[in-house]
Amino acid sequence: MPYWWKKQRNAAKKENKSAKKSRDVQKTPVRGDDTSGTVTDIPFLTMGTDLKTRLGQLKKTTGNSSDIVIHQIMLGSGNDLPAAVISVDGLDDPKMINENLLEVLMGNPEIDGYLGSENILDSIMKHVIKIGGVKKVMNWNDLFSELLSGQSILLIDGVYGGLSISTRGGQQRAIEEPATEVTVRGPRDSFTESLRVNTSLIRKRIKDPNLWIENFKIGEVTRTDVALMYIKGIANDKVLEEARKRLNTIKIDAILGSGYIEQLIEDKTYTIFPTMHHSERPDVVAANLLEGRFAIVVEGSPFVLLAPAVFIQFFQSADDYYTRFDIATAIRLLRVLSYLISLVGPAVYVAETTFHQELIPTQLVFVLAAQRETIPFPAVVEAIGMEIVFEILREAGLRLPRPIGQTVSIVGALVIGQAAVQAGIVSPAMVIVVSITAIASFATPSFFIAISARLYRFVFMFLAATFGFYGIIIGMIALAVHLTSLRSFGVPYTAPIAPFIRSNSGDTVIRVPIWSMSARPRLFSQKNIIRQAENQKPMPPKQKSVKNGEQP
Amino acid sequence: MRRRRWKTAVALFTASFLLAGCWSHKELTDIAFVSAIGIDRLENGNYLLTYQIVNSLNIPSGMQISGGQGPTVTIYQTEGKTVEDAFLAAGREISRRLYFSHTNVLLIGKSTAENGIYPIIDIFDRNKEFRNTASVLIARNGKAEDVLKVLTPIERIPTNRINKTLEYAQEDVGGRVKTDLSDLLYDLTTEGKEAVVGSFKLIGDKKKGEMLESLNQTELDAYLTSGGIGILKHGKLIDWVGGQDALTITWLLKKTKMTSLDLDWAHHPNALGLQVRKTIIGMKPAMKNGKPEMHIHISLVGQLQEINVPLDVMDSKEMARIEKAYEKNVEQQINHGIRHMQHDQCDVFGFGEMIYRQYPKEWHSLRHHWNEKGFAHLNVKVHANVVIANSGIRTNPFHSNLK
Repeated sequence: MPYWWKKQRNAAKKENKSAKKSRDVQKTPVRGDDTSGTVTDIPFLTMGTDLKTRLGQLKKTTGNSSDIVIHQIMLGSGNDLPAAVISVDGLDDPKMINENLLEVLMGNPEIDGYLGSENILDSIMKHVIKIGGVKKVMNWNDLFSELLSGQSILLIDGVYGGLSISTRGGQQRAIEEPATEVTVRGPRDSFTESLRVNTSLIRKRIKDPNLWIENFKIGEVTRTDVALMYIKGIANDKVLEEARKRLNTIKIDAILGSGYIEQLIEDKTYTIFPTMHHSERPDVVAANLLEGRFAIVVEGSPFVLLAPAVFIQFFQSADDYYTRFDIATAIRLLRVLSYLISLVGPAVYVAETTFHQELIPTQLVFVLAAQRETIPFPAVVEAIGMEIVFEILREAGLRLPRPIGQTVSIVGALVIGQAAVQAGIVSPAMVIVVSITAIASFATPSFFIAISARLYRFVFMFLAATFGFYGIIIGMIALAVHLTSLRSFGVPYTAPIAPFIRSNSGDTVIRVPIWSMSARPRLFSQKNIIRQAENQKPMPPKQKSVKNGEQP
Repeated sequence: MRRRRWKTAVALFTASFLLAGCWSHKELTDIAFVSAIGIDRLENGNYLLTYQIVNSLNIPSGMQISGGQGPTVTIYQTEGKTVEDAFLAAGREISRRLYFSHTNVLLIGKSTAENGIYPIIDIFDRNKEFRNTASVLIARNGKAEDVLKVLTPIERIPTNRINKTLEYAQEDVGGRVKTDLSDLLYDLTTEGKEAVVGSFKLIGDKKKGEMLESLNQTELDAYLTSGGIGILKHGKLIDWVGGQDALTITWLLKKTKMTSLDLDWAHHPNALGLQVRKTIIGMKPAMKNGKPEMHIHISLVGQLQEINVPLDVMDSKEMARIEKAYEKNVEQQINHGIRHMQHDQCDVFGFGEMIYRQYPKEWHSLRHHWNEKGFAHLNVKVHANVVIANSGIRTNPFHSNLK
């Protein structure tokens, strides 16, 4: 049942109740409360012992779907007990079912001893099936959730309940190189769509029993597995409690990617800045867990959510920590600069050419004036028009199939770079500004912070066209006010700069050497602050040890 | 409470936009960049303003390397009873708004300057667009309009030529000054200091110099060149100083770092040439028997650039003698320059200002008619120190080894 419908009904109920002013305690909607006949609503009791009825029921419930495979078999050496192994084609591992399950069940004299016994299921579980991960399922709810996640179900005629046997398989994408977060020196693995693979990739990096994983099933229809990962003792318990609460309040029919979860639990919807980080790199997730953040891994999504997020984090790349600190610092400063350019580049051009011509060096202003002489539009129209054309080009190039994408870029380059200038519609300086802005927006490591600049750029252009630099400054102040008002799971978004935290300021727009980053971000992990020993600066060996006669 | 705070914030935020406004909005294609203004006083007492406007379409840029077809600047002229009056008249003639932020040169006609610049200078100081860094010049021979009308080779914008020439000449040659508007106003208003201004002149046929065709030849029919220093007393041009005396002025104003000095040696006129690389000047006023006097120390470091007589450069005693001779020369030259100014009764060096700073009490009795009574009879002691650091990339000249 769609969640919105339920909500509507609850609201109606509430209204009724308040009208009646009755003292009845309102029933919270629980599973099985409704009688609409979906999978979730099959009552526990209808699961009988007769195999045929149960198979019929199963077929009816799944609508006789073609991928539900039922192997009808006979147990015992005399083939006298009918049974069925049910699995979902494509989710299971047929080889495993054939060799390790059907082989041992069919015509196996071992089972003879247990025939007719009360707990034949237990015996088969313990003595016959040689596959790990076997458990009993005693109602339809469990049966379907096990079956549909790839388990095989064994039902025996006349025996109540069944067995769920772990035969998960099916097609999986191999671990590949990350596509969106490329590094030069970092590891080359990235997350896949499988939750287990993803958690294992993280576990491989943090071999500590304190790495805890909590499981959630979210989505009334999709029943997506969601795992909350954190390091007990480092992560802040209050933040974790808040995360659990928010995850538990999600009532939705489907979770088809980590973006769904992000949008349902983030602190503020009406902002252009992402308040949750995400990554497809296990090393990034591990580093964030070690800083006291928590991770949310969602089945079916190669992007793992990370929170609490801070603004400056989006300008940091995994490579910063793998390269030398001075170079990393320079590159980070460059990124912040390029973000600023992508934010206000065209706005500054518009403001300078329409309000503050005195700020442009004399030689340059004559050149600009010469270029603009033939342009029939005001500078701001030219700028906004070019930016829109560029955005269209970018969007078109992004969505098109690869072979056609090249055509778009060629046409775009020719139309904008060449023809528009020669036709005298756009000035060459404007093309330069738009190109620099575009390139600058690609220099930001996180696409989702770059996209915020992409949108705000138009606001700034409008402000610049109406008020000049004054407007740009007003816009900047408004932006700063907005940024400082944001919170991510209770942590100020601009930390550790806006609430200035000295011990953490070494890893912001600058990065100090690894040996001097001895404190974890204080706002995330409040208890376990110390990350490493002091005085780890590499130094030449002292003269004394040579004197002691070790090795001259 | 929270709601009210929000309302206040939004109201303040909106109000902040009212503080600005679109009235200063001007597209590049709506303004005419004035690169230079010339002011001439007509015989009827009106002012004739000449605007040199940059014709930006003809400025070479990007793909059209050779530039446009026409000249890079255009001349407009308006007349008015005052400068502001003439500006107003410009609005009726020019399709674009005159824009003065990139005006580099304010050129004043010779006769106008002789009549006094006080009535024309304030508007440029007060105008929010006109920059104080624009240089103020006098058209040495004639009218300002004639100088502005001439097209220049190499530099496409004629004012660039004027400014760059003066700047280079002032620092590396000496004897030329580039006075900008703020310097001029400082000098005009400071007690015990008179103003100097640079000058430019037109040489050749001025009618031909206006034609673009005149640029298509190696030897120009008309060209611009820098002139000597104009001496202003109470805002009126009273004298021109050129040559060695002008060098003295730029030295003592600490505007010149390098120059070249000649010396007669071994009975050969102008046998040695010293290229000065570094100039240090110290000036200190003193009181002697209740009368002020100035002590000037000038120290020059340079290299021998030209030796046209047989000379043993390696002989340090000989070099010391040359240094001595140079010192004597320099002292003479500076004394001559100062005497020239004392004759004009015009303290362009700012000696009075230095005395005022050092002896503020005594200055009270000196300030009245300082130029005429004090400066004209001021005792100035000059001490020069010349160091010859090297002799270029050669030691002895070929003259020493001639057959």
